[in-house]
Amino acid sequence: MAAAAAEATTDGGGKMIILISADGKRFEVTEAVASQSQLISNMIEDDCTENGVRLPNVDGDILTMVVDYCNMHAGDAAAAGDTMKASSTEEELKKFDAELVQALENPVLFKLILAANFLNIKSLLDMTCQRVADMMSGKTPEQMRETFSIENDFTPEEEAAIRQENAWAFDD
Amino acid sequence: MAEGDSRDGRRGWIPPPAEKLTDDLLVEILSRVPYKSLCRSKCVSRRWRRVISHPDHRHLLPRYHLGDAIVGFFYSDTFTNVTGEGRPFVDPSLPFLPKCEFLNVVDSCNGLLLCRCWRLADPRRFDYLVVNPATEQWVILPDSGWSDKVQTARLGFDPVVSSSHFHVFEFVEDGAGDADGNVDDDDDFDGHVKGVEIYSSVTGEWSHKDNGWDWEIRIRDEWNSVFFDGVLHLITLEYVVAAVDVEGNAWRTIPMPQSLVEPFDGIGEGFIGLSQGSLYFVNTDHDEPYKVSVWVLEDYSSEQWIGKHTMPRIAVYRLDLVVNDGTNID
Repeated sequence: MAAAAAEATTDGGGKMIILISADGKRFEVTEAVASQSQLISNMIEDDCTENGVRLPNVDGDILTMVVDYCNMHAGDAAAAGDTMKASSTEEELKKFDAELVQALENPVLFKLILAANFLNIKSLLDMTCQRVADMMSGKTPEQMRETFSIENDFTPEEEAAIRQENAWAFDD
Repeated sequence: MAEGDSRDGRRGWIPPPAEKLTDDLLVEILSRVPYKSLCRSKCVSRRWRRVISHPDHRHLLPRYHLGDAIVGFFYSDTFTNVTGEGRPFVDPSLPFLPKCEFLNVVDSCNGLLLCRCWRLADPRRFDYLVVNPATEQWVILPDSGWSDKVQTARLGFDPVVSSSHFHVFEFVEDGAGDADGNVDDDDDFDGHVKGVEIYSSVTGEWSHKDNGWDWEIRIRDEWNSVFFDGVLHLITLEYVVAAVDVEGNAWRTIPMPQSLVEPFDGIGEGFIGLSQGSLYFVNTDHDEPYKVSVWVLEDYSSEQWIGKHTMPRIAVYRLDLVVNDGTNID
Protein backbone atom coordinates (compact mmCIF):
# COMPACT_ATOMS: atom_id res chain seq x y z
CA MET A 1 0.00 0.00 0.00
CA ALA A 2 2.82 2.38 0.90
CA ALA A 3 4.55 1.74 -2.42
CA ALA A 4 1.34 2.34 -4.37
CA ALA A 5 0.74 5.63 -2.60
CA ALA A 6 4.32 6.68 -3.25
CA GLU A 7 3.93 6.05 -6.99
CA ALA A 8 0.83 8.18 -7.06
CA THR A 9 2.78 11.23 -5.99
CA THR A 10 5.92 10.54 -8.02
CA ASP A 11 4.98 12.89 -10.84
CA GLY A 12 4.93 15.93 -8.48
CA GLY A 13 7.29 14.65 -5.79
CA GLY A 14 10.63 14.47 -7.59
CA LYS A 15 13.47 12.39 -6.24
CA MET A 16 12.77 9.14 -4.39
CA ILE A 17 14.49 8.05 -1.21
CA ILE A 18 14.55 4.74 0.64
CA LEU A 19 13.63 4.42 4.32
CA ILE A 20 14.86 1.28 6.09
CA SER A 21 13.16 0.11 9.27
CA ALA A 22 14.84 -1.56 12.26
CA ASP A 23 13.85 -4.99 10.90
CA GLY A 24 15.19 -4.23 7.43
CA LYS A 25 11.94 -3.37 5.58
CA ARG A 26 12.45 -0.86 2.80
CA PHE A 27 10.05 1.92 1.86
CA GLU A 28 10.50 4.00 -1.27
CA VAL A 29 9.01 7.47 -0.88
CA THR A 30 9.35 10.83 -2.56
CA GLU A 31 11.43 13.52 -0.92
CA ALA A 32 8.25 15.57 -0.50
CA VAL A 33 6.68 12.75 1.51
CA ALA A 34 9.78 12.02 3.57
CA SER A 35 10.60 15.62 4.37
CA GLN A 36 7.52 15.93 6.57
CA SER A 37 9.91 14.37 9.03
CA GLN A 38 12.11 17.22 10.19
CA LEU A 39 14.87 14.67 10.85
CA ILE A 40 14.84 13.36 7.27
CA SER A 41 14.32 16.84 5.86
CA ASN A 42 17.57 17.87 7.55
CA MET A 43 19.29 14.78 6.15
CA ILE A 44 18.05 15.61 2.64
CA GLU A 45 19.46 19.10 3.03
CA ASP A 46 22.77 17.64 4.17
CA ASP A 47 22.74 15.30 1.15
CA CYS A 48 23.14 12.11 3.13
CA THR A 49 20.19 10.05 1.91
CA GLU A 50 21.97 8.47 -1.08
CA ASN A 51 22.20 4.98 0.40
CA GLY A 52 18.82 4.98 2.08
CA VAL A 53 17.86 6.23 5.51
CA ARG A 54 18.20 3.65 8.27
CA LEU A 55 15.75 4.14 11.13
CA PRO A 56 17.15 1.73 13.74
CA ASN A 57 14.48 2.42 16.37
CA VAL A 58 11.38 2.28 14.17
CA ASP A 59 9.90 -1.15 13.43
CA GLY A 60 8.56 -2.01 9.98
CA ASP A 61 4.92 -2.13 11.07
CA ILE A 62 5.18 1.30 12.70
CA LEU A 63 7.08 2.74 9.75
CA THR A 64 4.30 1.46 7.48
CA MET A 65 1.83 3.61 9.42
CA VAL A 66 4.16 6.60 9.41
CA VAL A 67 4.71 6.33 5.65
CA ASP A 68 0.96 5.99 5.05
CA TYR A 69 0.39 9.07 7.17
CA CYS A 70 3.09 11.05 5.35
CA ASN A 71 1.80 9.95 1.94
CA MET A 72 -1.68 11.15 2.80
CA HIS A 73 -0.46 14.47 4.11
CA ALA A 74 2.10 15.10 1.36
CA GLY A 75 -0.72 14.64 -1.17
CA ASP A 76 -2.50 17.47 0.56
CA ALA A 77 0.54 19.74 0.33
CA ALA A 78 1.07 18.93 -3.36
CA ALA A 79 -2.57 19.67 -4.18
CA ALA A 80 -2.54 22.97 -2.30
CA GLY A 81 -2.40 24.95 -5.56
CA ASP A 82 -5.67 23.40 -6.73
CA THR A 83 -8.35 24.77 -4.43
CA MET A 84 -11.11 22.33 -5.39
CA LYS A 85 -8.88 19.34 -4.94
CA ALA A 86 -7.40 20.66 -1.73
CA SER A 87 -10.76 21.03 -0.02
CA SER A 88 -11.87 17.51 -0.82
CA THR A 89 -8.48 16.23 0.29
CA GLU A 90 -8.85 18.08 3.56
CA GLU A 91 -12.02 16.17 4.34
CA GLU A 92 -10.42 12.87 3.38
CA LEU A 93 -7.43 13.72 5.51
CA LYS A 94 -9.57 14.40 8.55
CA LYS A 95 -11.30 11.07 8.06
CA PHE A 96 -8.00 9.29 7.56
CA ASP A 97 -6.45 10.85 10.68
CA ALA A 98 -9.52 10.11 12.79
CA GLU A 99 -9.61 6.47 11.67
CA LEU A 100 -5.89 6.03 12.17
CA VAL A 101 -5.85 7.44 15.65
CA GLN A 102 -9.08 5.80 16.82
CA ALA A 103 -7.77 2.37 15.89
CA LEU A 104 -4.64 2.78 17.99
CA GLU A 105 -4.17 1.23 21.40
CA ASN A 106 -1.21 0.51 23.61
CA PRO A 107 1.45 -0.60 22.66
CA VAL A 108 1.19 0.49 19.00
CA LEU A 109 0.06 3.99 19.97
CA PHE A 110 3.12 4.50 22.17
CA LYS A 111 5.43 3.11 19.50
CA LEU A 112 3.93 5.59 17.06
CA ILE A 113 4.49 8.45 19.52
CA LEU A 114 8.13 7.42 19.89
CA ALA A 115 8.52 7.21 16.12
CA ALA A 116 6.84 10.58 15.55
CA ASN A 117 9.10 12.08 18.17
CA PHE A 118 12.26 10.48 16.76
CA LEU A 119 11.41 11.40 13.18
CA ASN A 120 10.21 14.80 14.38
CA ILE A 121 6.81 14.88 12.64
CA LYS A 122 5.00 17.44 14.72
CA SER A 123 1.46 16.94 13.41
CA LEU A 124 1.64 13.18 14.00
CA LEU A 125 3.11 13.70 17.46
CA ASP A 126 0.34 16.18 18.34
CA MET A 127 -2.34 13.81 17.12
CA THR A 128 -1.05 10.73 18.92
CA CYS A 129 -0.36 12.56 22.20
CA GLN A 130 -3.87 14.01 22.06
CA ARG A 131 -5.23 10.51 21.61
CA VAL A 132 -3.46 9.31 24.76
CA ALA A 133 -4.67 12.37 26.68
CA ASP A 134 -8.24 11.66 25.54
CA MET A 135 -7.88 8.06 26.68
CA MET A 136 -6.80 9.26 30.14
CA SER A 137 -9.81 11.50 30.63
CA GLY A 138 -12.16 10.15 33.30
CA LYS A 139 -9.84 7.28 34.20
CA THR A 140 -8.76 6.38 37.72
CA PRO A 141 -5.04 6.11 38.49
CA GLU A 142 -5.40 2.29 38.38
CA GLN A 143 -6.87 2.45 34.88
CA MET A 144 -4.13 4.88 33.81
CA ARG A 145 -1.47 2.45 35.01
CA GLU A 146 -3.14 -0.26 32.98
CA THR A 147 -3.21 1.94 29.88
CA PHE A 148 0.47 2.75 30.22
CA SER A 149 1.56 -0.65 31.64
CA ILE A 150 3.05 1.10 34.63
CA GLU A 151 3.72 -0.50 37.97
CA ASN A 152 2.49 1.25 41.10
CA ASP A 153 5.63 1.99 43.10
CA PHE A 154 3.94 3.98 45.87
CA THR A 155 3.42 2.55 49.34
CA PRO A 156 -0.29 2.44 50.26
CA GLU A 157 0.34 5.26 52.77
CA GLU A 158 1.98 7.47 50.16
CA GLU A 159 -0.80 6.88 47.70
CA ALA A 160 -3.44 7.65 50.32
CA ALA A 161 -1.66 10.92 51.14
CA ILE A 162 -1.61 12.05 47.49
CA ARG A 163 -5.26 11.13 47.11
CA GLN A 164 -6.04 13.15 50.21
CA GLU A 165 -4.27 16.22 48.81
CA ASN A 166 -6.23 15.98 45.57
CA ALA A 167 -9.45 14.62 47.04
CA TRP A 168 -11.75 16.74 44.83
CA ALA A 169 -10.24 15.18 41.70
CA PHE A 170 -11.45 11.76 42.77
CA ASP A 171 -15.15 12.64 43.07
CA ASP A 172 -17.13 11.33 40.19
CA MET B 1 23.72 6.39 8.07
CA ALA B 2 26.52 5.28 10.33
CA GLU B 3 25.60 8.38 12.27
CA GLY B 4 22.10 7.08 12.89
CA ASP B 5 23.39 3.74 14.12
CA SER B 6 25.99 5.08 16.49
CA ARG B 7 23.52 7.51 18.06
CA ASP B 8 21.18 4.74 19.06
CA GLY B 9 22.88 3.09 22.00
CA ARG B 10 19.64 1.36 23.02
CA ARG B 11 19.45 -0.85 20.00
CA GLY B 12 18.43 -4.35 20.91
CA TRP B 13 16.92 -3.29 24.25
CA ILE B 14 13.15 -3.25 24.00
CA PRO B 15 11.30 -2.14 27.14
CA PRO B 16 7.50 -1.73 27.09
CA PRO B 17 6.80 1.26 24.81
CA ALA B 18 5.12 3.41 27.46
CA GLU B 19 8.17 3.02 29.71
CA LYS B 20 10.30 4.42 26.93
CA LEU B 21 8.39 7.70 26.89
CA THR B 22 10.85 10.37 27.94
CA ASP B 23 9.90 12.98 30.51
CA ASP B 24 9.41 15.44 27.66
CA LEU B 25 6.98 13.10 25.91
CA LEU B 26 5.12 12.45 29.14
CA VAL B 27 4.76 16.22 29.58
CA GLU B 28 3.64 16.44 25.95
CA ILE B 29 0.79 14.06 26.79
CA LEU B 30 -0.05 15.42 30.24
CA SER B 31 -0.22 18.98 28.89
CA ARG B 32 -3.31 17.89 26.97
CA VAL B 33 -5.34 16.33 29.78
CA PRO B 34 -7.93 18.22 31.83
CA TYR B 35 -6.70 19.55 35.16
CA LYS B 36 -8.72 16.94 37.02
CA SER B 37 -7.00 14.08 35.19
CA LEU B 38 -3.64 15.70 35.87
CA CYS B 39 -4.30 15.65 39.61
CA ARG B 40 -5.27 11.99 39.42
CA SER B 41 -2.14 11.30 37.38
CA LYS B 42 0.05 12.22 40.36
CA CYS B 43 -1.10 8.93 41.91
CA VAL B 44 0.09 6.77 39.01
CA SER B 45 3.74 6.39 39.95
CA ARG B 46 6.67 8.13 41.60
CA ARG B 47 8.08 9.09 38.24
CA TRP B 48 4.80 10.65 37.12
CA ARG B 49 4.48 12.60 40.35
CA ARG B 50 8.05 13.86 39.95
CA VAL B 51 7.45 14.90 36.34
CA ILE B 52 4.17 16.69 37.18
CA SER B 53 5.63 18.49 40.19
CA HIS B 54 8.88 19.51 38.48
CA PRO B 55 9.17 23.32 38.39
CA ASP B 56 10.35 23.24 34.75
CA HIS B 57 7.09 21.62 33.72
CA ARG B 58 4.75 23.88 35.63
CA HIS B 59 4.25 26.32 32.80
CA LEU B 60 3.58 23.48 30.35
CA LEU B 61 0.96 21.59 32.34
CA PRO B 62 -2.61 22.61 33.06
CA ARG B 63 -2.61 24.23 36.43
CA TYR B 64 -4.82 26.08 38.75
CA HIS B 65 -3.81 27.65 42.00
CA LEU B 66 -6.25 29.83 43.85
CA GLY B 67 -4.67 33.13 44.71
CA ASP B 68 -1.55 32.14 42.82
CA ALA B 69 -0.56 32.56 39.19
CA ILE B 70 -3.19 33.55 36.64
CA VAL B 71 -3.73 30.90 34.00
CA GLY B 72 -5.48 33.03 31.43
CA PHE B 73 -8.45 35.21 30.62
CA PHE B 74 -11.94 34.85 29.36
CA TYR B 75 -12.59 37.48 26.78
CA SER B 76 -15.91 37.46 24.97
CA ASP B 77 -16.33 33.77 24.11
CA THR B 78 -12.65 32.88 23.93
CA PHE B 79 -10.07 31.88 26.50
CA THR B 80 -6.48 33.08 26.17
CA ASN B 81 -3.64 31.60 28.19
CA VAL B 82 -1.60 34.17 30.03
CA THR B 83 1.44 32.82 28.22
CA GLY B 84 -0.28 33.73 24.95
CA GLU B 85 0.64 30.30 23.58
CA GLY B 86 -0.66 26.79 23.25
CA ARG B 87 -4.06 25.23 23.55
CA PRO B 88 -6.37 27.16 25.86
CA PHE B 89 -6.23 25.64 29.36
CA VAL B 90 -9.98 26.09 29.60
CA ASP B 91 -12.51 25.28 26.89
CA PRO B 92 -14.52 28.54 26.81
CA SER B 93 -17.72 26.71 25.88
CA LEU B 94 -17.60 25.03 29.33
CA PRO B 95 -18.80 21.73 27.83
CA PHE B 96 -19.07 20.03 31.23
CA LEU B 97 -22.04 22.21 32.23
CA PRO B 98 -25.62 20.98 31.88
CA LYS B 99 -27.30 21.72 28.56
CA CYS B 100 -28.68 25.25 28.28
CA GLU B 101 -30.68 27.02 25.64
CA PHE B 102 -27.99 29.69 25.89
CA LEU B 103 -25.14 30.34 28.31
CA ASN B 104 -23.78 33.78 29.32
CA VAL B 105 -20.73 34.34 31.45
CA VAL B 106 -21.88 37.27 33.58
CA ASP B 107 -19.00 37.88 35.97
CA SER B 108 -15.79 36.38 37.30
CA CYS B 109 -14.19 36.69 40.69
CA ASN B 110 -10.88 35.13 41.77
CA GLY B 111 -11.18 32.16 39.45
CA LEU B 112 -14.91 31.42 39.70
CA LEU B 113 -17.46 32.34 37.05
CA LEU B 114 -21.05 33.43 37.37
CA CYS B 115 -23.16 32.30 34.40
CA ARG B 116 -26.74 32.60 33.28
CA CYS B 117 -28.02 29.33 31.88
CA TRP B 118 -31.23 29.87 29.91
CA ARG B 119 -33.51 26.92 30.52
CA LEU B 120 -34.18 24.41 27.78
CA ALA B 121 -37.70 23.78 29.08
CA ASP B 122 -38.55 27.48 29.35
CA PRO B 123 -36.09 29.62 27.36
CA ARG B 124 -37.55 32.80 28.84
CA ARG B 125 -36.12 31.99 32.23
CA PHE B 126 -32.58 31.32 33.38
CA ASP B 127 -30.71 29.84 36.32
CA TYR B 128 -27.52 31.21 37.80
CA LEU B 129 -24.59 28.82 37.81
CA VAL B 130 -21.37 29.34 39.73
CA VAL B 131 -18.60 27.51 37.97
CA ASN B 132 -15.00 26.64 38.67
CA PRO B 133 -13.67 26.23 35.11
CA ALA B 134 -10.41 24.67 36.28
CA THR B 135 -11.89 21.88 38.38
CA GLU B 136 -15.04 21.67 36.25
CA GLN B 137 -17.17 21.87 39.38
CA TRP B 138 -20.36 23.91 39.32
CA VAL B 139 -23.47 24.61 41.36
CA ILE B 140 -26.87 25.76 40.28
CA LEU B 141 -28.45 28.45 42.47
CA PRO B 142 -32.08 28.36 43.55
CA ASP B 143 -34.41 30.76 41.76
CA SER B 144 -33.90 34.33 42.99
CA GLY B 145 -37.49 35.22 42.10
CA TRP B 146 -36.25 37.32 39.15
CA SER B 147 -35.30 34.52 36.81
CA ASP B 148 -37.11 36.14 33.88
CA LYS B 149 -35.35 39.51 34.20
CA VAL B 150 -31.79 40.21 33.17
CA GLN B 151 -30.42 42.55 35.79
CA THR B 152 -26.88 43.34 36.83
CA ALA B 153 -25.45 40.41 38.76
CA ARG B 154 -22.06 40.09 40.41
CA LEU B 155 -20.07 37.35 42.11
CA GLY B 156 -18.24 37.73 45.41
CA PHE B 157 -15.62 35.07 46.10
CA ASP B 158 -12.59 35.48 48.31
CA PRO B 159 -10.48 32.31 48.53
CA VAL B 160 -8.49 33.83 51.39
CA VAL B 161 -11.64 33.93 53.54
CA SER B 162 -13.16 30.66 52.32
CA SER B 163 -12.22 28.47 49.42
CA SER B 164 -15.68 26.93 49.22
CA HIS B 165 -18.15 29.75 49.89
CA PHE B 166 -19.27 32.66 47.75
CA HIS B 167 -21.99 35.27 47.41
CA VAL B 168 -23.99 36.38 44.38
CA PHE B 169 -25.45 39.88 44.17
CA GLU B 170 -28.39 40.46 41.87
CA PHE B 171 -29.40 44.10 41.69
CA VAL B 172 -33.10 44.80 41.39
CA GLU B 173 -33.21 47.55 38.80
CA ASP B 174 -35.99 49.99 38.06
CA GLY B 175 -37.55 49.38 34.68
CA ALA B 176 -36.07 45.92 34.16
CA GLY B 177 -38.38 44.14 31.75
CA ASP B 178 -39.24 40.46 31.84
CA ALA B 179 -39.12 38.16 28.82
CA ASP B 180 -42.28 39.78 27.45
CA GLY B 181 -40.99 43.31 28.03
CA ASN B 182 -43.37 43.90 30.94
CA VAL B 183 -42.19 46.12 33.77
CA ASP B 184 -43.69 47.17 37.09
CA ASP B 185 -46.24 49.95 36.66
CA ASP B 186 -44.67 52.22 39.24
CA ASP B 187 -41.18 52.12 37.69
CA ASP B 188 -39.61 55.33 36.28
CA PHE B 189 -37.55 53.37 33.73
CA ASP B 190 -34.27 55.06 34.64
CA GLY B 191 -32.63 51.83 35.75
CA HIS B 192 -31.69 52.88 39.29
CA VAL B 193 -31.04 50.20 41.87
CA LYS B 194 -34.11 49.57 44.02
CA GLY B 195 -32.56 46.83 46.08
CA VAL B 196 -30.39 43.76 45.96
CA GLU B 197 -30.93 40.02 46.21
CA ILE B 198 -27.92 38.39 47.85
CA TYR B 199 -27.30 34.68 47.67
CA SER B 200 -25.07 33.12 50.28
CA SER B 201 -23.64 29.65 49.63
CA VAL B 202 -23.43 29.23 53.42
CA THR B 203 -27.20 29.46 53.92
CA GLY B 204 -28.10 28.33 50.39
CA GLU B 205 -30.70 31.11 50.24
CA TRP B 206 -31.32 34.48 48.67
CA SER B 207 -32.13 37.43 50.92
CA HIS B 208 -33.55 40.75 49.82
CA LYS B 209 -32.35 44.17 50.95
CA ASP B 210 -33.73 47.54 49.86
CA ASN B 211 -31.33 50.11 48.45
CA GLY B 212 -29.26 51.49 51.30
CA TRP B 213 -27.27 54.02 49.30
CA ASP B 214 -28.12 57.64 49.99
CA TRP B 215 -29.53 58.30 46.56
CA GLU B 216 -30.58 56.55 43.40
CA ILE B 217 -27.61 54.76 41.88
CA ARG B 218 -27.41 53.43 38.33
CA ILE B 219 -24.93 50.76 37.36
CA ARG B 220 -24.04 49.30 34.02
CA ASP B 221 -23.62 45.64 33.31
CA GLU B 222 -20.44 46.17 31.26
CA TRP B 223 -18.58 48.02 34.01
CA ASN B 224 -16.44 45.97 36.28
CA SER B 225 -16.64 45.49 39.99
CA VAL B 226 -14.17 44.62 42.72
CA PHE B 227 -14.86 42.31 45.64
CA PHE B 228 -12.69 42.36 48.73
CA ASP B 229 -13.07 42.17 52.51
CA GLY B 230 -16.61 40.95 51.99
CA VAL B 231 -17.63 44.14 50.18
CA LEU B 232 -18.62 44.54 46.53
CA HIS B 233 -17.53 47.78 44.85
CA LEU B 234 -19.17 49.06 41.66
CA ILE B 235 -18.61 51.93 39.28
CA THR B 236 -21.76 53.96 38.79
CA LEU B 237 -23.24 56.47 36.40
CA GLU B 238 -23.45 58.84 39.35
CA TYR B 239 -19.64 58.97 39.31
CA VAL B 240 -19.21 57.35 42.68
CA VAL B 241 -17.89 53.95 43.68
CA ALA B 242 -20.88 52.30 45.34
CA ALA B 243 -20.16 49.54 47.85
CA VAL B 244 -22.35 46.99 49.61
CA ASP B 245 -21.32 44.14 51.90
CA VAL B 246 -22.35 40.48 51.64
CA GLU B 247 -24.94 40.92 54.40
CA GLY B 248 -26.54 43.85 52.60
CA ASN B 249 -26.17 45.85 55.82
CA ALA B 250 -23.28 48.21 55.08
CA TRP B 251 -23.85 50.55 52.12
CA ARG B 252 -21.35 53.24 51.15
CA THR B 253 -20.56 55.58 48.27
CA ILE B 254 -17.11 57.01 47.55
CA PRO B 255 -16.91 59.98 45.13
CA MET B 256 -14.62 59.36 42.17
CA PRO B 257 -11.45 61.43 41.79
CA GLN B 258 -11.54 64.58 39.60
CA SER B 259 -14.68 66.57 39.04
CA LEU B 260 -17.47 65.29 36.92
CA VAL B 261 -17.05 66.88 33.50
CA GLU B 262 -19.37 64.90 31.28
CA PRO B 263 -21.99 63.05 33.26
CA PHE B 264 -22.60 60.16 30.87
CA ASP B 265 -19.17 59.79 29.33
CA GLY B 266 -17.34 60.45 32.55
CA ILE B 267 -16.12 56.91 33.02
CA GLY B 268 -15.34 55.98 29.43
CA GLU B 269 -13.05 52.99 29.55
CA GLY B 270 -12.37 53.50 33.24
CA PHE B 271 -12.32 50.67 35.73
CA ILE B 272 -11.60 49.87 39.33
CA GLY B 273 -9.14 47.31 40.60
CA LEU B 274 -7.52 45.91 43.69
CA SER B 275 -3.80 45.95 44.33
CA GLN B 276 -1.95 45.29 47.56
CA GLY B 277 -5.15 45.61 49.52
CA SER B 278 -6.06 49.05 48.16
CA LEU B 279 -8.77 50.12 45.77
CA TYR B 280 -7.54 51.67 42.51
CA PHE B 281 -9.37 53.66 39.87
CA VAL B 282 -8.06 54.00 36.34
CA ASN B 283 -9.63 56.41 33.86
CA THR B 284 -8.99 58.80 31.04
CA ASP B 285 -7.49 61.95 32.52
CA HIS B 286 -9.98 64.81 32.16
CA ASP B 287 -7.20 67.35 31.68
CA GLU B 288 -5.17 65.24 29.25
CA PRO B 289 -7.56 63.13 27.17
CA TYR B 290 -4.77 61.15 25.51
CA LYS B 291 -3.54 59.88 28.81
CA VAL B 292 -4.92 57.65 31.49
CA SER B 293 -4.45 58.23 35.17
CA VAL B 294 -4.31 55.82 38.07
CA TRP B 295 -5.56 56.76 41.52
CA VAL B 296 -5.43 54.81 44.75
CA LEU B 297 -7.64 55.04 47.81
CA GLU B 298 -4.81 54.45 50.28
CA ASP B 299 -6.95 55.13 53.33
CA TYR B 300 -10.05 53.05 52.68
CA SER B 301 -12.11 54.90 55.26
CA SER B 302 -11.40 58.25 53.59
CA GLU B 303 -12.57 59.68 50.27
CA GLN B 304 -9.05 60.79 49.35
CA TRP B 305 -7.94 59.35 46.01
CA ILE B 306 -4.22 59.83 45.49
CA GLY B 307 -2.90 60.16 41.93
CA LYS B 308 -0.28 57.48 41.31
CA HIS B 309 0.64 57.46 37.64
CA THR B 310 -0.21 58.98 34.32
CA MET B 311 0.57 57.06 31.15
CA PRO B 312 -0.23 57.08 27.44
CA ARG B 313 -3.63 55.54 26.71
CA ILE B 314 -2.24 52.57 24.82
CA ALA B 315 -0.95 50.99 28.02
CA VAL B 316 -4.32 50.79 29.69
CA TYR B 317 -5.74 47.90 27.74
CA ARG B 318 -3.36 45.42 29.24
CA LEU B 319 -4.17 46.67 32.69
CA ASP B 320 -7.85 46.39 31.98
CA LEU B 321 -7.63 42.68 31.21
CA VAL B 322 -5.54 41.91 34.24
CA VAL B 323 -7.68 43.88 36.63
CA ASN B 324 -10.90 42.44 35.27
CA ASP B 325 -9.60 39.07 36.28
CA GLY B 326 -9.47 40.32 39.83
CA THR B 327 -5.74 40.40 40.16
CA ASN B 328 -3.06 42.90 41.04
CA ILE B 329 -2.36 45.67 38.62
CA ASP B 330 1.13 46.32 39.99
